[in-house]
Amino acid sequence: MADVIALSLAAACFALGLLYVRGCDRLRGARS
Amino acid sequence: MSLNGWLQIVLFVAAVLLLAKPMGLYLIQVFERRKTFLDPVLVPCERLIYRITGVKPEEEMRWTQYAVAMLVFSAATLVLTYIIERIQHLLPLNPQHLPAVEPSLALNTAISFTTNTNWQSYTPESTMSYLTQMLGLATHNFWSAAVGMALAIAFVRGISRREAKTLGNFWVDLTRGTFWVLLPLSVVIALALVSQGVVQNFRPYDTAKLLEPQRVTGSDGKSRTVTTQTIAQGPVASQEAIKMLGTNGGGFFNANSAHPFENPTPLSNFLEMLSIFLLPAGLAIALGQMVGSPKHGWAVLATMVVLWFAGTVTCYWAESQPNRLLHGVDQHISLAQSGGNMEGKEVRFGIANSALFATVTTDASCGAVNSMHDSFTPLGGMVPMANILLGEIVFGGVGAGLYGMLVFVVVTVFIAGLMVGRTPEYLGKKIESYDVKMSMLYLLIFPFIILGFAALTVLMPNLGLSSLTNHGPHGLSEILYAYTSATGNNGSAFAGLNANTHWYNYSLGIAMFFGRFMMIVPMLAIAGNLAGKKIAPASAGTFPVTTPLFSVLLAGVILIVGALTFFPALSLGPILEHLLLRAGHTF
Repeated sequence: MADVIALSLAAACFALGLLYVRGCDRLRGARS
Repeated sequence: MSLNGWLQIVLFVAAVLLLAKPMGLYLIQVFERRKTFLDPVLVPCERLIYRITGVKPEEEMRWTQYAVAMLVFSAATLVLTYIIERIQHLLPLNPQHLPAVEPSLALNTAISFTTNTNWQSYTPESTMSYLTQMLGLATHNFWSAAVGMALAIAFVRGISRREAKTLGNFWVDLTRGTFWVLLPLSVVIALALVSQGVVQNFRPYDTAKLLEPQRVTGSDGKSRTVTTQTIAQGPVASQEAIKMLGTNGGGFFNANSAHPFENPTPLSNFLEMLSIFLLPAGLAIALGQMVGSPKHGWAVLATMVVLWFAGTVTCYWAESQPNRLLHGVDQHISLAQSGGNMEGKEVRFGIANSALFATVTTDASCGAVNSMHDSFTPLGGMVPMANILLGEIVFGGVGAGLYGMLVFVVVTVFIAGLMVGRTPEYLGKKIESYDVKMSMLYLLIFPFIILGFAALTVLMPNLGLSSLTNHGPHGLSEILYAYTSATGNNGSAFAGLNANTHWYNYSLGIAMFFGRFMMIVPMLAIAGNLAGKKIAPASAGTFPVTTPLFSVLLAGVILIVGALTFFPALSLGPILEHLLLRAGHTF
């Protein structure tokens, strides 16, 4: 169970990272 | 302070400046895929890796692709390390039969080494097997440093290219940084360290019989007689070299570079410090060469040197002062003693080399220590913390320091533009709204994580404060230092905090993750945006980025941003502790 929690936390962080890349890129699009 | 101490510091500065240019020129050869003397050996290896992995080296990536590749690589290697830690009891090279690492600690450590932090909430020699240290942790010392270098080079390409959409190929930069730079240099440094007495073996730990049996009180409160001492062994030199060169800092032993098997002599100490600054200094020179303005590289390096030297002088002075609470004790420097505050310091290094190491390791995001920062005087201990709080841009981590500094350069140029009422330009590229927004995102994430987690922790007596061994302002410094070190991806610690708890393992893990990746993404976004711009010719109104004025303004912006953000927290920690110490209170 503790392994599931730890790996889920890591997966959530990286998923957030990917969304963050997309968000920063879209912000650039919003400029023009 | 002594003449001998100053001479060693000056010798170190001279060595860094002498090596910066050759290192920088070599880095350019590597990352611009020019011919090097290592090509006959390494090019076939490189081709083989690309063939196996399916990487097409000629394919360039946009900043988003570059960022995603970096995140995917980091995620995969993080999970690999986590698994190795969890099953180390089933794997070979575990002569001490160490059990599997507890899940929250395994995650914290995996994040720590993936992010180039190397924060260690554990005692390595009694927690990690030889295989875990080598395959799970030392590999990250190479990879995380190579990732940092790749990112810095990508940023520089963003500045130097005109009307381009791409920043290079992440996989190629990663491979070349590892094979051409980190591996060969690590071999040379490891051999030099072995010559000084750093151990390199796979033996089980030695047991030595004590000449004088000791009476000790155990954690259970019972007194017992100890007649033997366990002396840990291991493949230390190979890990020590990349630990310093890659500005990782995670020790093979708990005592880190204060341990005589990691750092046995003043010469090994000098080599280790030099290894920390070698690549960050070289990258600053590479910046100047790649953007076609070598003087700009030197101006950035000069800013780093000035900020680092100011910290070294302050720390050396603070640690050389006698402790006024030790009445009747001779604390003056003489042939017989170092003088000043020697608590937590090794006699073979003394105060000058301890203060120098502390500032080098915290300026450069390394985190290795040859003395215990927790035992420094309040002001002496504030210097390492302040170095990290400036954003790890004074030399900084391999690559991370340069791209962090370049974000500050963008802000500096923007402020200079505001002063004269012109559209700011950086090396011919206009700095526009999006660049400034991403720069501010980069700069604001850092204090948000540090101050947010530190504030949350001091509000929780059971989860946060219960781990402290010191109360009052020193306790606050311990907590603040922990989150500063984690977010800045430094990894050093104020040793009084027991961080191996669920709260600290998870919260520091998140701080390390966000402090690395959430700052990289806006940085790459700036690089991608800059790459697409035209280069305007310099005019009379262009702010020159090659002059002493630029270096002074850059240093000023860094200090003002750092001071405005963190002075209130520092005033409640080390500054208050310093004032109370003068009034006779200790914590």
